[in-house]
Amino acid sequence: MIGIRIRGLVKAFSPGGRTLRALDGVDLEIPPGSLTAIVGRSGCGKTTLLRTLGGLETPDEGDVAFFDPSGPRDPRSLRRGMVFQEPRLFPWLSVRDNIAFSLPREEGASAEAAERVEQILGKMRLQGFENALPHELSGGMAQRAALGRTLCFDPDLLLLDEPFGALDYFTRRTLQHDLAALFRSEGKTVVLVTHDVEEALALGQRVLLLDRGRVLSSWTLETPPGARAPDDPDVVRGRREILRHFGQSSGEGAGGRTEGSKILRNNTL
Amino acid sequence: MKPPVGACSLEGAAAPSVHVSPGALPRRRGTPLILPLLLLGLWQGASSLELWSSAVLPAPAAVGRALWGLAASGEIFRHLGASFGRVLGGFALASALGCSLGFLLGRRPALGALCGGTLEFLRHVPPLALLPMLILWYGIGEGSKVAVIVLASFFPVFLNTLEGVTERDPRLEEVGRSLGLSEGEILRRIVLPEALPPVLVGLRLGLGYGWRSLIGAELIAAASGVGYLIQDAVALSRGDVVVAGILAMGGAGVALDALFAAVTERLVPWGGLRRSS
Repeated sequence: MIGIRIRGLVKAFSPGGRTLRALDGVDLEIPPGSLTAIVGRSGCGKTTLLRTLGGLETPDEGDVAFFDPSGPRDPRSLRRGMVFQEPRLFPWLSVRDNIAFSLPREEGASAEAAERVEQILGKMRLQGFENALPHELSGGMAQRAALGRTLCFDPDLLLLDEPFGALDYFTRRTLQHDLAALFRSEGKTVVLVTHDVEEALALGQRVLLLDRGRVLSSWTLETPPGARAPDDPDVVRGRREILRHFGQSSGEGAGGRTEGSKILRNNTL
Repeated sequence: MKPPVGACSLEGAAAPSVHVSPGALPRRRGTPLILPLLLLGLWQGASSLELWSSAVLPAPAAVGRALWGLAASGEIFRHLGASFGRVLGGFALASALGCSLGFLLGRRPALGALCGGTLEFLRHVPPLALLPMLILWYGIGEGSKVAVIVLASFFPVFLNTLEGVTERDPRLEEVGRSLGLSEGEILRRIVLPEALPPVLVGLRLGLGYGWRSLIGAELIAAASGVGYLIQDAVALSRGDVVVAGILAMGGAGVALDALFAAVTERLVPWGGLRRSS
């Protein structure tokens, strides 16, 4: 299991010649084996933070350090698996081959690897669709296959970038339940980015509020992920915390609190 | 890079829809035969009524007899064999050149910028305009004939390969990177398969263009090939053989294209030809 220490992280972009600091001095510690949910509005920097953790963006300033509590290890051996908002399956490969994609060729042909792929197909409830091509799958199945592909990679750190954002309510609820179960069974360090407040409060062991490239607040929830009712005291407290921050920091003046309430009624920021 | 490639890709993007879209249309088994049979009936009717001289267009029955005679003597198969040999040779060379250059220029934009203007200029020169130079360089043997076919086939293959490499979904490469693939593995396991559908469209178009350039290629002191057969029949004022040769050429072209389409459907089962069009 891997933990992360982030110090003074800055990442800027220049769309149309105008500089935007997507990350504006993020300090953060993610404990090993935790499920951290990062929640914030669109454009608050949460995807940039996740992409930086995944090695897909290089920070302009600051430092990201990964640590293994069991002892020192070669940073090159660190495996960071990412699931994106869209499934991004390889259209020329079957579901089975997509899931097995990260296995080295010599390893991919072994009996253990085949068994691992079968296990993941089972966990992702994709049996019977092993030979289907991505365009033959529903949105939920495709996203489960994408999650399975990343799990087959056996990452030390699982990074989820709004993985259920494009799905309907029912499919999203099912996949959230699947993710909570996976977290309990796999024991990996998971970072989930979402703009869905209820998703963050249902799944996060730790919830982190991000706004304009900075961490506004973070807190830990006592009940385990996936086992919280909507009126769970942790969830109610979390909603209040989010409302307090986004109501005051929305930058919309006196109407901020009202807007925050409206936003929370829609479950999204 | 962008201006020449953008200008080139317009053709690459527009042309396939002309060639591929009929396959995507819902149709009954015999539907494609209705129009040719109707035209044949009209042609035979007009010939029987002697609406025009048989020197202008021979009657279908005369063409049929000529075709049967060519088939019975085996002459048409000898000519078709010679033409197939040239087209496949030229097409293989054009494919090797077009695919390699398309991949190279697609992956190295600086090189694309350097070569883009020259290639764009060459694209607008018809292969037949280069015929005198080709005869000077390669003589009147097979070399110059194959060179005409190479020139006709090269650009559809090259442009579609270039488009396949440059117009990819960059998000798939990101997936590869996040799964720890090296640059070489990304090229081999993501870039190449992703570019395959447009490359196959280019190959299919290139094969068709190569086949269409046959008459020009076989103008050069040929002693065999369907183009030669037609040229020879023109010299002998055998209109029936000219039309028989044209029908054989069209039929063989359709068969070659259907064979290629069937093979590519198996190679790209995720519907590459249709999707990339």
